Amino acid sequence: MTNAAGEIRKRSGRGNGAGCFPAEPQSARRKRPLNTQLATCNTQRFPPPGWHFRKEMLDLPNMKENAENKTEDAADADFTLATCKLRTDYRVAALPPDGATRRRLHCLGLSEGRVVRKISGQFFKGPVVVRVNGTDLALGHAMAGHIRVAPV
Amino acid sequence: MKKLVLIGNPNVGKSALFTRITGIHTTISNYAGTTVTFKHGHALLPGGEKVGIVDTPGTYSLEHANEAERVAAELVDEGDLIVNVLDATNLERNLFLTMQLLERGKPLVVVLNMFDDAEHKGISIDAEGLAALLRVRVIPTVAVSSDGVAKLMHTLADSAKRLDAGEGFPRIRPHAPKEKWADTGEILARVQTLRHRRHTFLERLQDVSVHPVYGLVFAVAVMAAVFAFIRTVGEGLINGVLDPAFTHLYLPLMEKLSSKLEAAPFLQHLLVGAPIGGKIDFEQSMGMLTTGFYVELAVVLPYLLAFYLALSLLEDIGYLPRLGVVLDSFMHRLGLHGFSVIPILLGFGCNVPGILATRSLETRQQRFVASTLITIGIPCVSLQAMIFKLAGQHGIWPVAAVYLFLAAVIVILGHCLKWGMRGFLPELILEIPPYRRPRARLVAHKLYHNAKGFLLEATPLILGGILLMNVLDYFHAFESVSRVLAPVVHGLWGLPENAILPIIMGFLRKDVAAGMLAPLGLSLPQLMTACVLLSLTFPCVATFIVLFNELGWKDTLKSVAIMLLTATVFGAAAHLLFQHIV
Repeated sequence: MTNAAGEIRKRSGRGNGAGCFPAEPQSARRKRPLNTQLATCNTQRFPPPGWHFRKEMLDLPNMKENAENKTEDAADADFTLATCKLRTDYRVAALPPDGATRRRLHCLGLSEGRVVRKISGQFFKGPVVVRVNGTDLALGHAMAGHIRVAPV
Repeated sequence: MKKLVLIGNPNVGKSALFTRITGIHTTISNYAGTTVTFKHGHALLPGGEKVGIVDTPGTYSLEHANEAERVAAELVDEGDLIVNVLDATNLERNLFLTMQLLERGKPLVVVLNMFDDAEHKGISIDAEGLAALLRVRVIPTVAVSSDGVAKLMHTLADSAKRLDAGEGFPRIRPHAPKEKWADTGEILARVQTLRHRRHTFLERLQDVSVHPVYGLVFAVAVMAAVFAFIRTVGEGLINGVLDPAFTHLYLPLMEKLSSKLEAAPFLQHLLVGAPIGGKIDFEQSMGMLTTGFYVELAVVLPYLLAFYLALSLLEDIGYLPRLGVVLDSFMHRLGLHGFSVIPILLGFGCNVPGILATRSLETRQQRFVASTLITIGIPCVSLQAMIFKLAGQHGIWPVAAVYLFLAAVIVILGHCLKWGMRGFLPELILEIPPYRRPRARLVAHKLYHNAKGFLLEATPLILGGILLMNVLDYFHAFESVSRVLAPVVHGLWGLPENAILPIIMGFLRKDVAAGMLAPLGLSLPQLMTACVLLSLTFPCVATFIVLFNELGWKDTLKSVAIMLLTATVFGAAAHLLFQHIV
């Protein structure tokens, strides 16, 4: 093993084991549907070291509660607001885990269990416009990609 | 004196209600984020008690997400009585904030605003039922037409008396967000009824204007229409009304005055200016009473009226947030998100409200980038009027070339700033208001206040600027400055040495500065380069003060350094480019 390879292995190890998510066997990852696998990869790779000390991430009781209650919806959710069809009703299954974003979306009326309809999606990963409870909201493409929805 | 705080979600009509109660003018528009700081006024309640009223920026929650929301959340603690303004067309989302206020146990009165809109949308709300459930007074109102405002004033007087008597106000136990939504849903089920109705034309247009293809076509069509409207109305007012009025009515008076002042050449030089070809020329004489008034009233004011009329219509209809959505991908390349389109568009009127509107942006980096781009690349309406006047004499294409060049500067500078200031760029989360028919009275009110503000603020600066310039010119004080800066002004930008005077004078007023270009006898490429430079160099003194207040001295210095570098480099580029294409 070269030094460079060693460094790669070390980084990968920190992401899987020493961070906030437990390590899991690679075989288990392969069996999952594609979108779930991507979501797992993102959450494991993206947060920088020490991310769990952020104030927003201390909102654990709420996250757990929502996660428990919405497990069934989340299991059926094969779409995100970025990938779902236009002018079709969907039910919000899971919001992004980040506390500040969750709170903001909650305040705007976008919460788990809500029925949403995608009105438009701009080109070049532009914002997605959704209608929730009669109000139109524009959400950045990346954020819309983290909001999982299930067909109604 | 008791302090009443108006608080509510963005774009629910708090400012309209504040204006109705206090009589103080506020800017009212149909998009979230119109009010970015609080406004204070007084009102006499029925019964004679005088109270202080505070209008706050809109907030979705007491846990703030940007500077404007932080101001609102802080003011809740300072208020003796909270007036929670709700949008009756979107009761469910608005009640979330009401729940948070009830958790704090502050004395509360709920206002169900836009009650007429709710009826039009087929939404019926039982206000008394809602009051019984929340255990607070609930008053339906239509702030823009004053319906229900009198009843609200009586309710506020009652609540003030209850405060004096030491009566308690309801307080609910703290809820988790999920519980709040569950409670809100239950309240809604009891007090709100929806009737089925067909989609209206405006609702169909709403969907078209955020469509990825048609939305872009729509945006181009709207911007082209606005440009054509400003040019037609502005030129129509100048050529049809104001220029003839100045030539036939005011010119004879000035000629008489000039002949009487022949014995006092210094005074004649200051008041009437230098004769051009033996006659007074309103554009070139540069006298306080000739060019000073002509530039302000017959050149800038018509374009200013046309611009603010078009902007008011776009604001009140509710198109600006949709433009932000359509342009979001493009704005991301400049280190901003789509909402930044609104401060930038406001900057085309005057850079001051444009920079103030950047408060609605989430991060300091975004505010810095947006403010710097506005001060450098966005010409205010006064400067635009002069660009139209000077470059427009040679046809529309020199004007278009100046605008295109400035747009290119914004794009290049935005890219450079994004590259140089790598930081967190938050995702767009924006509420898009429904299209509403603009009310003629509100549009006229806004137009009146914009024109009044311009005349009151600009007149002393324009006259003072011309006076100062004439005095310095009379005593040849600028000659040494011109000689020192000649290598840059002449060598790099291709302008005559004395063109430095208008550029320096631009710090005082851009329109005066542009007016000073007329007597210099510049060729068309030089004129176009000078117009570009007037936008790129220092902003006017009012903009500079606001920039300093908003960014602090450190970031202002950075912004000024960027400004000087941009002006030097792009001034030279403009000189080379315009020389070749003209």
